[in-house]
Amino acid sequence: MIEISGLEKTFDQPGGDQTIALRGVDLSIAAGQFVSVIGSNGSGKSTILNVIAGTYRPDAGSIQIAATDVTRWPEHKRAKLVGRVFQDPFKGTCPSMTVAENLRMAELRGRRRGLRLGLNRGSRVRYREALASLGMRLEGRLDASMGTLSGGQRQAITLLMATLTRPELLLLDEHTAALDPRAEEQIMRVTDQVVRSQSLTTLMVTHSMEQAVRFGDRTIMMHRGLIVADLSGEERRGVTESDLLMRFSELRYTAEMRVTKDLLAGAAAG
Amino acid sequence: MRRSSRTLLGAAALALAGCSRADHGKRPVIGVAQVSSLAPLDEAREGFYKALADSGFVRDVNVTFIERNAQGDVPTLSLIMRDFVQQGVTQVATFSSIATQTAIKSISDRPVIFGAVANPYLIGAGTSATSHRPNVTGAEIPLPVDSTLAVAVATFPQARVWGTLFDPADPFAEFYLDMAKRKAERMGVRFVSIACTSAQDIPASVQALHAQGVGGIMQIPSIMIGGGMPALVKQARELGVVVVASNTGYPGPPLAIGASFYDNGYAQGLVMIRVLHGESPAKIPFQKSAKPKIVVDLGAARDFGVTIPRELVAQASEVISEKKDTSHVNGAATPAPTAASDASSAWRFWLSALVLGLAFSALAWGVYIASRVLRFPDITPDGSFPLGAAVAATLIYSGADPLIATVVAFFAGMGAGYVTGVLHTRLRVTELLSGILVMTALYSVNLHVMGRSNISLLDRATLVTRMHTAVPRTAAWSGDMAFGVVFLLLTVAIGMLIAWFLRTDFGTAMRAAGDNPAMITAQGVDRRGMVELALALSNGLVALSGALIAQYQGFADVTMGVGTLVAGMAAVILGETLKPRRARLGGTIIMVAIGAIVFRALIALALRIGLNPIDLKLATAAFVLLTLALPNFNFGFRRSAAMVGATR
Ligand SMILES: Nc1ncnc2c1ncn2[C@@H]1O[C@H](COP(=O)(O)OP(=O)(O)O)[C@@H](O)[C@H]1O
Ligand SMILES: [Mg+2]
Repeated sequence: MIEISGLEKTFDQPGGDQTIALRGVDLSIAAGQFVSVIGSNGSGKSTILNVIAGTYRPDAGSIQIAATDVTRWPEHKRAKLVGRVFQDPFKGTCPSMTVAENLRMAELRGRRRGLRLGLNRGSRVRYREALASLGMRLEGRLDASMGTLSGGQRQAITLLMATLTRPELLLLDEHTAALDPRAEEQIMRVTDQVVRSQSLTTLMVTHSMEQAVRFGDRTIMMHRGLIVADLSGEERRGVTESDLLMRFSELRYTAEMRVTKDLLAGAAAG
Repeated sequence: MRRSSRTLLGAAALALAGCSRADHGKRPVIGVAQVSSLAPLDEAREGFYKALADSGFVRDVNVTFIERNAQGDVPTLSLIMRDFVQQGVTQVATFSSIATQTAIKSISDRPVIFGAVANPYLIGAGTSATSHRPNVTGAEIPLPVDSTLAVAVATFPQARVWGTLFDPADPFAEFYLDMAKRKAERMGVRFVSIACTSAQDIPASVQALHAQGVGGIMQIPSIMIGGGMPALVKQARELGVVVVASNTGYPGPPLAIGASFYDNGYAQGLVMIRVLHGESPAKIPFQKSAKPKIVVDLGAARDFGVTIPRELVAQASEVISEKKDTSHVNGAATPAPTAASDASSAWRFWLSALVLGLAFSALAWGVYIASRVLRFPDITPDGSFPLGAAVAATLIYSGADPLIATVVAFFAGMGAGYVTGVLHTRLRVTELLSGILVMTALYSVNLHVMGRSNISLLDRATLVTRMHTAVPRTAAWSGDMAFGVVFLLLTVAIGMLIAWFLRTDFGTAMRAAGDNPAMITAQGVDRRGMVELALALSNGLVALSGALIAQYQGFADVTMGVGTLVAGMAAVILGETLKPRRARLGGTIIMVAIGAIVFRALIALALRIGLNPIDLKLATAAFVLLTLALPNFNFGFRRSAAMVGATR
């Protein structure tokens, strides 16, 4: 269960300009729900994920994960509840370490790291099984250096790392965008399988309308820092890519109007 | 009759002048500037104060002293002079040539009275004793290097070839070297010299002299080598090379012949009194305090296995018969072998390089952890290395157990590294600046820890002492051998601990904190804490290395941190270059230590084949640059994986 209300975030740009990335976002996600997020470039999709994960502090608003207010928690503390996969395949793993070492680090997410040699026979068996479940023939690469794997393989392992200990919330930010079509398909298949089998509460940003309608059970659409559409249940069933596209251009207009009105109101007040 | 009344009148006038000064309540304020707290300079200053006191100048009653010590930092001297002017001192007293030189440059409107200056003409104080700068005069102390050599040769005839180390950066090196060489030529004695640019190279330089057949070292005066005298004495004793100092006040040599700095300071004080009584400095010729001072150290002579003729002992102005503190004495030396065969001389030479390399392994690992594991460009080692040396030396000097002293030094280094980390993570100071700030601050901290700029540990207990009581020292089982064994065991233990630590769950997270900050945060680790702890560990190891070096070379000096980081980097890079491609963490850790040893060996080789040590630092820098640049040009494929990581 995720409760987000009134999230606002403004960035200072070098040169003194300001970009409003979030203009008061409310969002509530039921436990186990798989939500896909679409929206134009710069609409605030990554920002909202970063604010939820704690990479950025919001200017206003609050975030609750599993009935706990985490708004003031630092990023590393929130990691106990949140698993993440980034767009950049290099960002989620340590290239100089082995696959097994990466998995060991992920297994201890949010737990105390002591002076123990964590890689032993038992843990290696666990990791080999987990790798096998991906169906990407990675189980034999336990001792390979992470830096020698392909982008797709890395993203699969990052996904495994994010879910090795069950997170309250899984955040995926265009995690297939940097991959070739075949790897993209493979990772989406694995994603769906992992999310479904553990019934993870998931927020997945995607650049592909097709993915947005094919995966998950709810789709939200962002524009200029606002959630402009929220489809689920009956409303979402049978929606096609082109429906979404059309809906999008309509809603975009409404959102622009709202932003302009806010701006005018602000100007009048000032 | 006429004459005497004139003198009386003059005396009365002088007294009147003195009175009128006192009546105006204008008591003289003398700025006292010293470059560092080396023993001879302290002695001269005591003599100076004594002279003033003997003439009725009582501190804070009718004269005020503003005392400043640059603690070895030459640029600080200029600041001191400016401060004197600002505080309105009426006269300046300088001790040492460099302090005088600085005073001459920055002060021309009030008297500068110098002491402890070997040759005032070389530093531009004047052209003759009577023709000199109008505001500058004082007492020069010509060190009789030539007669010292003559006495040395006569006293120790078994030494056929004599030699000295010299610091090319010392303004008087050439002057004294020349004096010694000319005297040797006249006496028909072969005299060789080796340039030595840093205290850490002293043992290797002594080895190099020995390799040239030197049986006796007549050390010419030098601030840097004087500070490193314990290292010189230790190494020479091992090799059976006798040491004679041409400068008194340093611990260790059996015989020192010089002038009394105390007397020189006293003569300087007398000049100051004349100036205080109103004489113009321009009219006072340079004084020469030529009274020679012979110091015989019978305990040191026994350690060297030499005897000092009775007549010389009778002539000595000071005879040190017993060491002050025998409980700490390093397992008493048996008479060292006087003539070593070529093979054993070569073996000793490389052994000392190996021992240094082992002691530097901890430094290399420290630098490895910061620069490679954490990927943090940390400059703190230039301060934490001497910190470790200072802490260990101070504790050992005050009687602490060397093992405890070494451990405390490690923790002191950890503290320093932790502060660098906090500056960066909590106060958001850039990485480089954090290190620079802490390194700079540590210079003062180290001085405070030691209470002076140099502590000698000669014949104090070290980590190796216990070993010596178990296995008595013989020619084969030399001091270097014992240090080698102890350092080897210690280094292996530390290396295994590091390899184990970096593989634990905690250590893995530390490696990840350097490898991929975004990832480790997403895995629930506070990266800031990791950075602080990794820097603490890194600098703890660096300080430990400093503590080992201080015990091996027998002294700690505030200036010994210069170039630490480059030496550590060179070792890391060498280790990485030499390591097999498939080496994992453990292999890399071993190779970094080997890199430290190879680096010391390369420096020793450079000294051995006679590369001008003046170029040594340049060669080091060029070498590091070369190993850094080579992989990019020739072996690009070898590093391709690492390059991808670096450019991501
Ligand atoms: N760290 C940052 N600093 C400054 N501006 C940022 C930062 N992150 C995002 N922005 C700005 O905020 C807006 C929203 O960005 P983002 O959330 O990344 O969009 P997207 O929906 O494409 O993921 C953009 O205008 C972007 O330039
Ligand atoms: Mg984005």
